This record gives sequence, C-alpha cells and structure tokens, in this order.
Amino acid sequence: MMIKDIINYIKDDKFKIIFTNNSLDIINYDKLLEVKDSVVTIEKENNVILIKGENLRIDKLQDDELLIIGYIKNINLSR
Amino acid sequence: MFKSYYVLRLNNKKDLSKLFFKDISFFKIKYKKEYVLLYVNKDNFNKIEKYFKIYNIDVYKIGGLLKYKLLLKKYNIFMITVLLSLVMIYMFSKITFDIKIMSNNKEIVNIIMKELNDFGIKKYHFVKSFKEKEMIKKKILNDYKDKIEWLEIDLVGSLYKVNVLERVKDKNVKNDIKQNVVSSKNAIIREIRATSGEVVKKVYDYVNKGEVIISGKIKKGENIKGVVNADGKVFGETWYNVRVELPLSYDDKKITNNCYNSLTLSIFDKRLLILKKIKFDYYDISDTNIITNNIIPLSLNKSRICEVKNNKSFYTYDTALNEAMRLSKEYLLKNLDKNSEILLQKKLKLYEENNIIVVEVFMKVYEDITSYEEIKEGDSDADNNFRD
Repeated sequence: MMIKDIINYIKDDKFKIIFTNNSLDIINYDKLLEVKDSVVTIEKENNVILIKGENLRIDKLQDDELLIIGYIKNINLSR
Repeated sequence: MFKSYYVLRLNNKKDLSKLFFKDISFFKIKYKKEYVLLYVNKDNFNKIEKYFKIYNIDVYKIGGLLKYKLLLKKYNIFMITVLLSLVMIYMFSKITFDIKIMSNNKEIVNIIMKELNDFGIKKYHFVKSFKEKEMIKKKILNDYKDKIEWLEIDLVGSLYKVNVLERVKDKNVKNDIKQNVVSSKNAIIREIRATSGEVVKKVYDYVNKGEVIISGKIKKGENIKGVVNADGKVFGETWYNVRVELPLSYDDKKITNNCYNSLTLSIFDKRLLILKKIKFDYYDISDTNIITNNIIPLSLNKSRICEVKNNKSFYTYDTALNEAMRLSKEYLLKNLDKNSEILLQKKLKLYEENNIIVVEVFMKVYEDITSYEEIKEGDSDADNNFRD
C-alpha cells in the first residue's frame, strides 16, 4: 500500500486544474482542441473542458501541462 | 543554468495557434508587440525547424550549455591560442632563467653556485617549491657554518636572487684593538651606560665631537694601570637648526567619493581602460590585480577611478608655522635613531622671501651620541701604560 502511495506520488498523473488570479494551470490534460482569445478548449478522457474569458493566451504548452493567462471568466466541463 | 534551450521568434503572431497543434512543447511563451518569443528545448527545436520557412520563424537566442558549445565551435582557434598562451606563460613562469648571487667574494659565490647546482637550482630548470627552497637553504647554511652567516634564496620572477652574508670574525677580538668611547657630536651628556672602561665625564658635562667619555685606559692616580676595550652607550642633548621653505600657494589635491570601477590592462607602464572611459580631468587610480605575470609585463586589473579636485590653497603665517613645525619634526625623526626624542622645538625666524615663506626652527634632541676611537700605541698615555 505504502509503495503504491509513493509510486503515485512520484508519478503524479492526476488531472489537476490550478486557478490563480490571472492564470490557469492545467496538469495532465490529453489534448488541446482550440485556442482563441475568448476560449480555450481541452480534452481529458473524453471530457471536454471549456475555458472562457478575455485576452486568453497560452504561456506554456507542454505534453502534460498547459498554462493559460488572461482574464478567466468561466470553466465548463462537458461529459 | 546549463540546460540548453532555443528562443525562437515567430514574426507573424497569427500563426501561433497553428503551432499549438503541431505536437511541439513550449516551456515558455513571451508575447511582444510585433512578435512572439517561443522557448523550446533541443528536441522540440528539431520538431519545429521544418516550419521555419512556412511560419517565418528565426532563432532569436540560444541559451544554456549549447550557447557555450556554439561559441567554442565558432572561436575554437582563438580559444586554443589563448589556452596555449596561458599554458606557455605558466610554464615560463616556472622556469629559472638566471641565478644571481649577491656577494663580491668569489669563493662564496662558487660554493653557493655549486651547491645550488647540486640541489637542482640551475638555469632553464623548473623552480623549486618553497619547502624545497627552504630545505636547500638550511642545508647550505649547515654545511658552511664557518663561512656563511646568513642566506636567503628569493625567486624574483624567473630569477633566483641569493642574498648572502659572509661570516666575518670580530675584528676587534682578532686584532685585539682597544678603543675609547667618544662623543659623535657636540652635546651635553644626559646618560652614560658604561659596560667596560673608565667613565671620564659626568652627566650634564658639555662635550665636543670626538671627546673621550668612557676611556679604555684604567688609571690609578696619574699612572695608567692597564688598557681595556671601553664599551657602553652615551646619550646626549644635541641641537639642530632646520630651515623649512613653503610656497605661498600650493595645490591641495583631494580625492573625492565620486568613483567608479573599471577593468584595465597594464602593459609596461601604460594602462588601457577596457570597460569605461575616464570621465574626470584629474583622477586617481588604484589597481587590484586580477591576472598578473612575472615574465610578461602585462596584467589585468580591477581599477577604482576616483575624481581628484585640485584646490589652490594659501599658507598664512600661522598655518605655515604649523606645517614647518610638523615637517621639521618629521624630517629629523626620519634621520635620527629610533630611540631619539625631540625635547624642544622653537621657531627662530619666520619671513617671506620671493613668494616663499621661510621658517627656521630650533630643535633640542635627546639622542645616542656613542662613537668609538681606537687607542693607538703612539698615544702618549698609552706609551706610559707600556712603560709601566
């Protein structure tokens, strides 16, 4: 059990969305679907996550992490 | 710090969203007015390279270890030359090019030269470490105790300078010369410390230069009973007149706090500023060596350049007198024995002559007036002794 916990801790493949004032850090996403000034769409395990706002920009784009900056108004999850 | 990365400039901002779907990772994206800067690692650079022409992308900057690798590749000949030069300089600084023995005695010079040669201190050979040098010095001193009193082997640049003091037997003992202690100056005696001989003067007696104070002739009544080597110390009060001339006006240079640092390259007595120019009309430079070499007169220095303000100052009679007092005291103490003491300092005259203030200062000094005079056989008193 303990080893499993440690492996999970090191591997850390949990899907996370961390929201601060003007940025949204999305960790372990699957796919980036759309990028516009007002909307960024991503996919995670067949779920679509819609981030709406103003002046949205991608600050970091990596295989497992996406950092969006701008004025974020709404985060929407569609199953 | 050492992780390699590329900063790419995407000149058409509209193409950015297209690049997001090319399976390329950007670990940072910076948005500028006219363009976008994309930070990618080496793997992603290889992926994006094929889109350079399509999306008008160029390399803006290279960072990390890769930057140094490319620099090394670009300037490899220069770097190798510099490196080789440094190695050569280092090698040359560790080689002996000359050995100088500071003695007029040919025998001593030959002895030391032979010993140094045996210990491996020779021309065009590597210099010895401090420990080895000290060991060699001790061995030579030990082997030639009767000939060498003191020896010092100094490495000055690429030259070994050997200072040597020959052992000389005490001439007085060897020749059995007898002497009197006499006064070296006209003085009033203040203290007599006799270790041998007969004291013939009293404290507060006035003596002329050369007058006997401790006599080597031991008298009993009028007859001389024996001649010894008189010895001791005599201190007396002496007098000096010092004339100090000061100009009416002088340049008073003051180093201000208006300073800055720069790198300078010194070649012989020339100094070249590398980073900044000298901003001041009058300045003072103090250097701290960063790289220096004893063979090549070239050094790289961190220099502190400070503005110097030149003010024209004038002496009044009062300030001139103070300055003259200070200078005369300083001058006298510098020229006298360290046990000397100034007892009195007095102004004699103060006047102006051709834009110069002249101050004459009288000084009363307590100093060592010990001197020696040989007692010769022809001396009438000495003859008397021999008759006895």
